[in-house]
Amino acid sequence: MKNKAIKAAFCLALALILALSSVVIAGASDEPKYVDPDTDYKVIIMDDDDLLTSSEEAKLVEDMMPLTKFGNIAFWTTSEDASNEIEQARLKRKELFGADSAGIFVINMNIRKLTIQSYGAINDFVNDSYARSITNNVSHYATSKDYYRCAQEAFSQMLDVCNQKHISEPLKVSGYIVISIMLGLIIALGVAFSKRNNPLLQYDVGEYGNDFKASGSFTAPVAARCTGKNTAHRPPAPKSSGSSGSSCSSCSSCSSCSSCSSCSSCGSGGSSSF
Amino acid sequence: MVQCPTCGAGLRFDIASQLAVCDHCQNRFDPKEIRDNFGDEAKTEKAFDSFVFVCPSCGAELDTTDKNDAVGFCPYCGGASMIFDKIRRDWIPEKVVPFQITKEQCKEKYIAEVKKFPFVSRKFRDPKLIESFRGIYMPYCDFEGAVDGKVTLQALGAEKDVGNYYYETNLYEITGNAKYIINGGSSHDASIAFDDHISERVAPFDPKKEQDFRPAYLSGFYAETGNIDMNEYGPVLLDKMIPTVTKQMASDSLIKNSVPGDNISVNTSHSENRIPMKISPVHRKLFPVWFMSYRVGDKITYAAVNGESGKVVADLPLSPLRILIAALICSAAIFGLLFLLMSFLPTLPAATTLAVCTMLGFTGMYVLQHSYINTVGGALNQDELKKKMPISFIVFSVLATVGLILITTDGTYEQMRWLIGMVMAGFSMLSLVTRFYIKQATLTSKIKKIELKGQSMQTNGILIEAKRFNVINNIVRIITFITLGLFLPIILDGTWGSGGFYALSGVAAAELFVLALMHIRFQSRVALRRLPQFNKKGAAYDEK
Repeated sequence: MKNKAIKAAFCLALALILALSSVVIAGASDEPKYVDPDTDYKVIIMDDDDLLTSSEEAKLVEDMMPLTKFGNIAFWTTSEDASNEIEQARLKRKELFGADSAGIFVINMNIRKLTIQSYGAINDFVNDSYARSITNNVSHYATSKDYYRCAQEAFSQMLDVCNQKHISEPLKVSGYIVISIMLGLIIALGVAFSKRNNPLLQYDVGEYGNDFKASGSFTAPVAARCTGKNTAHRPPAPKSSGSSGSSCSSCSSCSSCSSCSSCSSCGSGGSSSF
Repeated sequence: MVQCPTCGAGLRFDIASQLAVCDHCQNRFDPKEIRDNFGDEAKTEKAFDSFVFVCPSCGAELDTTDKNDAVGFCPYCGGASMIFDKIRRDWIPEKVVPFQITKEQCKEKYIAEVKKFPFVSRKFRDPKLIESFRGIYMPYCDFEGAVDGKVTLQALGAEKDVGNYYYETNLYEITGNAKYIINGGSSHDASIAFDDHISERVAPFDPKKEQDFRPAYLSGFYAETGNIDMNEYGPVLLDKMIPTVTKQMASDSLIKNSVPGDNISVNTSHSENRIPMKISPVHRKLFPVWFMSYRVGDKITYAAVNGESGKVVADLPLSPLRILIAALICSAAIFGLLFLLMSFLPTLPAATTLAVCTMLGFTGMYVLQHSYINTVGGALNQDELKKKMPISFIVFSVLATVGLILITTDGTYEQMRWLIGMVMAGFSMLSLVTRFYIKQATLTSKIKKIELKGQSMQTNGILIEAKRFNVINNIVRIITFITLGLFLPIILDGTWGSGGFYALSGVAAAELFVLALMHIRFQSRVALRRLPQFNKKGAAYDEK
């Protein structure tokens, strides 16, 4: 009887240990999937929203590995609400990698935003503008729910940019085309309708027809009668200002942006909606 | 027909030599010494005979001294042919300024004028078109006003202080008998067919070139008969003579001293001034004009070259195609420059693209409306509507755009940029609305209040076209203003998807394009004239 009780207790303890270890294992999702042996930069995947399958995760790790030449690289899916998605990404990157060179690609399913945020060597290449371009380029994959392809393409383009290869930026060009068309239209019409170019405004009559001369006189007597009075207010003359000096002392320097004490830990980022 | 004294063939006036030339026997004669073929009767009577050709389409008439002249098409409506009507005895004008500019010189000057305007179609320089210039003597008349009777003027006394902050001015009514003559002004055209809009602008004609009238000057040219309808000319001339005579009256010592102890000044434009004036035509003249018309659908354009000085006045409508090509070239140039700098230019967030397009929409609306107001003001001689584009408008528009860009760009230092952007954009937009858009709306409403009053056919036509355009233009502007205004909270909110922002940018661009097309159409049509109708009864000429 006593032996049975001991055995039961032992099994229960083992089960508990096993359960706890699985929780620990499950909670350790920010463990690096790969560490570059030369640079020690890591690849981290945190698929909190379960957008990728295991095999997709494995393939994505391989796609992210080349970027470790430049810095740490992370992929994060989340549904946390955020008023500023770039700040959210920045904080996550900082939490994971501190002040090391790093880049993070975030898919936020709550606010439907794709964000790339980077710092350090990666930021030297993937700046605000490229971050926006890349997220613009891959947003359609996210819209069609192909999240693996979305992430893969994003990291691929980040690698191209880091290797100083050209990436196409169709929305950037389209935006500037629309602006050019509108500006060109305004300038051209302003010039075409101006006085210099509009024949309808060229031919001034001037004084022609208004150059009559009158001569003659009144014969006495001339009668004048008062028909009324106008009374009007005359404002007082302004006093000359004799006071000198300024009522303003030199302004104390205003506090700068409270979120960053220095720019070294901010980096850059860009995002798109999907 | 003025006949050659030597061989009896018809004479023609040669501009280069200023002599009457016989092409048959090559003799040349001084026009002053040539009599017309109706002999001595012309010496004693104040009339000469001419052959009248009438246009069956519009009723316009042209006179010629030679019945064999092939009058051909009507210069006023472009109708295919004018038909001979009858011989008429026309009142002899006192003076004539003979043609000094030949047809070739006329064509050169006209082409030079057209070339000055790059947005006018090349068809107005077509050699076949300019060949149709026709030398026509237009009747002009000097007018004289006479005031002889009781005159009433309104005047103001000097300002008298009442206390520290108020002053009084006495109002006076001054009456007296006056005798004034108003003359010496420029000659006015005395032809119904020759629109005042052109006749005033193609003048003046050098009075030193005036000669005593002889029919020989008309040989080889056409003439218009004068038709002075004082019901039509009277109000126009009164508008011009009254201010002149009132200013002269105001300086009369009897008027200035009419109120002892008060220093009065006459209000020369007061509506209660009463000045009875009689206006009569004096000194009829004929002035030379090279005249051409060009039909554009159901409208027509005129061109006139002063036959004495060579001054050109022409209806030259803007070409929509040329304007659109210019816009395309301009856009391509701007994009080319941006493309060269593309690697340095950032990718704009979608919201920023919409912000820039929205501000360009607002700016474009203002520029187009400004051009419309300016065109109407310039064409109708309304000084209060003729305004230059204020530079400060461009400055505030740029500031507002930069402010919106700062608000909408994400990335580093976002909070600080947002705050600065809000201040810039808010202040600039408030300034734009209060200083510019409201003022422009006020000016636009003034166009509605302009009345037709004794103006030329062309100015009446421009006013009607402008008012008609104003109606649809205002509707489209209101829709555009509301739409663009609704974009602003969307931009500030920033939660829309990229696709939505780009779609709205396209909407802003499309709205500007629609407005632009409307204004291009207005500007190109406003210079066109309606086909004239001079004789409502048709081709029949009703002889007194």
